[in-house]
Amino acid sequence: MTHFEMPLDATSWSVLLPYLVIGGGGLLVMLVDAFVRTLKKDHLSYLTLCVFLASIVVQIAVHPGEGPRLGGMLLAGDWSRFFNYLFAGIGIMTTIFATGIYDRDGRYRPEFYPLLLFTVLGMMVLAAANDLLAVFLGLETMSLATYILAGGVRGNVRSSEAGFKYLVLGGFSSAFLLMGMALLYGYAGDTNFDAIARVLATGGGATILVTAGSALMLMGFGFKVAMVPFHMWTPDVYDGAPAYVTGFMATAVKAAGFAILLRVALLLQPQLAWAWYPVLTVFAVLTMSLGNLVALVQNNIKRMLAWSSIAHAGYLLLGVVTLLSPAVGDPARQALARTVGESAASAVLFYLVGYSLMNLAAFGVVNVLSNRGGEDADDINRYAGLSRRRPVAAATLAVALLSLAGIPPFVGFMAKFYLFAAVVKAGLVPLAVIGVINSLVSVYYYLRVIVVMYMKDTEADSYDGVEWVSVATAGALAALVLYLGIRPDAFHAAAASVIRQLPF
Amino acid sequence: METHANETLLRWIVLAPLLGAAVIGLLNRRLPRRVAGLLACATVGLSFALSVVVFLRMLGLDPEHRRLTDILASWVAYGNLRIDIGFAMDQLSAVMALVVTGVGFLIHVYSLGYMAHDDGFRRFFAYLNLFIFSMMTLVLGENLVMLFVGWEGVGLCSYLLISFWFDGEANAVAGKKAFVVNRIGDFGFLLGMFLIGVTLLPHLAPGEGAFSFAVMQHHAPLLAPVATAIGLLLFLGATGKSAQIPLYIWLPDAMAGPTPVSALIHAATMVTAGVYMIARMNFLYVLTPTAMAVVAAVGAATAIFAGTIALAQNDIKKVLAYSTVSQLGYMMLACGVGAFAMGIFHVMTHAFFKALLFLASGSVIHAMSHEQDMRVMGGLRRKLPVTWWTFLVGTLAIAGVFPLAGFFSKDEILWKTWSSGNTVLWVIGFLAAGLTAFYMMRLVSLTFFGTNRASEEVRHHIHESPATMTVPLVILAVLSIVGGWVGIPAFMGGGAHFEHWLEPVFAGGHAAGTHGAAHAVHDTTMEWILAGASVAWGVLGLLLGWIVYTRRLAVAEAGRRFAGGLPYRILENKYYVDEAYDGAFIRPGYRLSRTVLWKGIDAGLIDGLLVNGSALAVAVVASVLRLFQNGMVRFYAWSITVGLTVFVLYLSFSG
Repeated sequence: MTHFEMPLDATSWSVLLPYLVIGGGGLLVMLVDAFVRTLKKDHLSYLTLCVFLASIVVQIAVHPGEGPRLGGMLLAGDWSRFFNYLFAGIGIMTTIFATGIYDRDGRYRPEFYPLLLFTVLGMMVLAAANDLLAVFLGLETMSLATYILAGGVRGNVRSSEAGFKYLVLGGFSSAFLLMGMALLYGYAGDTNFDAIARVLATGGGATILVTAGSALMLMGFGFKVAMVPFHMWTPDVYDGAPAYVTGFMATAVKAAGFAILLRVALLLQPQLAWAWYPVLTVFAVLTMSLGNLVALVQNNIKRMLAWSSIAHAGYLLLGVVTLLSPAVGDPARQALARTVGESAASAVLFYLVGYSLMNLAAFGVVNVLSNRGGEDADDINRYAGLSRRRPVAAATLAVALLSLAGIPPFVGFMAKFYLFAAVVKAGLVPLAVIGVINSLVSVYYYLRVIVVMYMKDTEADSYDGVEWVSVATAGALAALVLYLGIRPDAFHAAAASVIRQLPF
Repeated sequence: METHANETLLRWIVLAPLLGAAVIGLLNRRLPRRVAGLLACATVGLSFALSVVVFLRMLGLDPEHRRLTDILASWVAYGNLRIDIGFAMDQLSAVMALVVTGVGFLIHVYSLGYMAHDDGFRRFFAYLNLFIFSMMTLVLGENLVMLFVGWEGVGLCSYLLISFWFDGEANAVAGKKAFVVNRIGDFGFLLGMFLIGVTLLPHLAPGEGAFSFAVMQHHAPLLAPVATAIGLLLFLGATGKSAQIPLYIWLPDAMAGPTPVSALIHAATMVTAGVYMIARMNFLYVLTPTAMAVVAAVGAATAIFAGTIALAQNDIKKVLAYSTVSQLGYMMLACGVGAFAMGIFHVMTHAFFKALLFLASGSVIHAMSHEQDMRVMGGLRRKLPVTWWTFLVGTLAIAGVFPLAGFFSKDEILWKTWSSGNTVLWVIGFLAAGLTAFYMMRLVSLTFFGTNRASEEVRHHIHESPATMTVPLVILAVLSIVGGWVGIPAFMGGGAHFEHWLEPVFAGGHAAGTHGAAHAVHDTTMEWILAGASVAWGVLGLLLGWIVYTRRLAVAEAGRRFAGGLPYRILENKYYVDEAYDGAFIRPGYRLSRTVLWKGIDAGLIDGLLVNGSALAVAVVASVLRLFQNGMVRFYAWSITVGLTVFVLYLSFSG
């Protein structure tokens, strides 16, 4: 079990600092909203942005060192810092996108900002977790806040339905996850990752507990990252939730899910790769193929992006599969195993960042346009002639979609390149081929939107007030998508150095 | 490897024209014409000035350390592969950079006048600036990949500028032809590059850029086993870009572009990229006598082949185009016999006099209200005095008359060919030199001598060009006279400065390439004899051309009717090569495309089975899957449970 030293020493405080900033910031935003009467509606969003920036600043300034801290609860160091930056960045973008919409429709919802901060707090804990308790704590903090975010448009039936569905199914999957953790605890007699790893290495305990337990946990994480067959909530919830929340869920929640999936996969890899590898292979292939196939026939851009996010979860799962593949587990060739494992894991990190950038750019544009009124605001046909009316928005969306399709010189291509290269290195050529075929298929539905935007014309759409801050932000993201596509090196090296901190 | 001095000016030499292209291209109509034109000239002028500054700095260094680099960033670093975005200038790049930016600047200025009344004025200068940027990337690229980026960039600009007047179908077709033919060459180039990569990568230490010229040269012995393959593949790329047999066919058609473009891209700079690349890769070529022999033979064959075609062309620019192909053949011949320095020397002098000839012909075309057929010209000597005199200088230079620029470079190429023991190639080159003099004088006679044969209205409009056009002509004429003096060979008491300047770059080439190098030191008699012979031969060609086409037109007519006019018709139709390619590749290609690829594979297999079939399959599958996506939470929970159950059951039974 974990052992807290009370009172906390200076190192522990410095580990906690970013979490305290975000969590305390959430409370502060709530209090300001409740008690400051002269508040203009933009002010909360500025405050939220400041909180996110402060969390970044403290992490740049304070380095608590590497390794498990706080009695082994949280993993401090580059790994958690990497994800904390990512979450804070996505949080900043989401705040900007959300604020743009509030300004227009007048349905001002101040509870959004503290909820966003609490979600991010949960994600940070989840990604840094080094203990099953921390995992559950982080996951539930994240999930509870996301349920409300998804159902956040009061009075909108689809949004409420999305929130409710997500709540029911999320609770359902959390129950399984908790059950899995209980089984694992029963097996190891401890909730700490390092302790579990030691017990696994000695091979004591009943195997059925750990296999069944890990299966239940895999399902719980698979639910969060929208892995087939635990994906079914995704299209409904992504479609019903407001677009800025959908963008947030498709990027940050997915990144958090993959962070913990990677951790747990590495934890169980030496003893349980044999069980996870074949199952995850099937799940990964199903996830990619189903996501892409169903995305082909969507006419609603949010549903299309929802299915595309399922497909991308499939590509990312390939990275996890590679980690669990026999090539990595082979004790006879440790050096090779290590490079393959490292390149797979760093490819997953690179992919998460690239995917977050391009997806946020896409959702940034979709977000402002989905607010233009009419039930069919998200219909792809409503994007006809966008290139002429809103050239910057159209170009941004086009860059994001091309990148999602994996076309050079955008970051989506490099992300897929690193990922598939790792898959090939592990000797899993058929999987790489399936991945490439899948991304070929995906080109169709991404290009379709571009064709509609650039090659179809329509009578002037009544909506013209594209909110420029959101579009400019999305445009900046698209520029970053291009930059990282041309110069991925430095960033890929950073991802690789983050990975080296993890046990292999 | 020795470390090289840093020089951050290099990036600005390359980037200045890009900046100009971006500003002019993006602002386009919002920019006044005058500003656009001046900006374009200024950026290239800046590039030239900076090149001179860097060149002066190089002069201050001792010869072994005259390699300046400017690495901007690492571009690709994956596993052992490392490619930098960077520039390097050594003696070879310096020559090329000065020529490209210098001649480029003059042609920019000339274009101010030539394109003054064109609707696409700004677009033209944006492309022209983009071209200089690409060309400088090619010339100053620190590695083969950067060179290739520039290589493709100039190809693109060439395409854009050939079809600059895209409303004429012939222009669009010519642009497409250039693009497609160059693709064939680029295919070879890419394969060559890949072969270098696979050969070198396993042997390199991490962080060594496999395609960096310095690294490749350092590891040249590793490349020796595959040098012939690489050399030939890269040379295929060079035959495309530098218009050699068998891929020369695009260059004459490229004359559809505006004349300054023909001067800059299709005579002075871009088409010499192939020669530059081979000279740049000299350390590789000296390892492979086979590839060298192919380069030399193809070069010599192209020189005489294109020279004969030029005899019977009536379009003033077509004559110059075939002459360019022929001169490029000389440069390749020089590289092939190991005289890389002489090849580059000829690149430089040719850039001067061929740019001059094209610009002067542009001045003629300008005066003749865009008439290009020489048969309706004539007698322009008096009406266009500046054009006439500068054209004459260019003609004498290309004919190799002493002491003009062309004499020194061409004569040195022929001498190196002779002294390396390639007597047959020397004979071919010598014959081609006579042809050059003859067809050039034919051009001059038909254009400037005699009486004007144009219509009354055209004749009325004939006028000398404005100063923006004539001043560059005069400058280029001066360069065509004195440009060769930097390379006066030792036997004439000159210092052969040009050769010595490039010596460090081609150190390997001279050791292995020219067998006769030692021989040349004492045996100057032969050099004198050959030099005298080639001057006499050139003058004879000039005289013949002058006499036949100004005085004895009956002789020309008799020559045309010789053997039923068949030889003339063959030459006029360029040996029917275009027709042969059309019959051998293009029409079968179309047929294959129509019957097999389109109707069979595309319409039948792909459209019918794969596209419609898979679309049907997807539609069926997706509609089935849609049933699952029914929005019912109970069903979703059920499917989660089923998935999980299957997983747990699998684990229980397989474990």
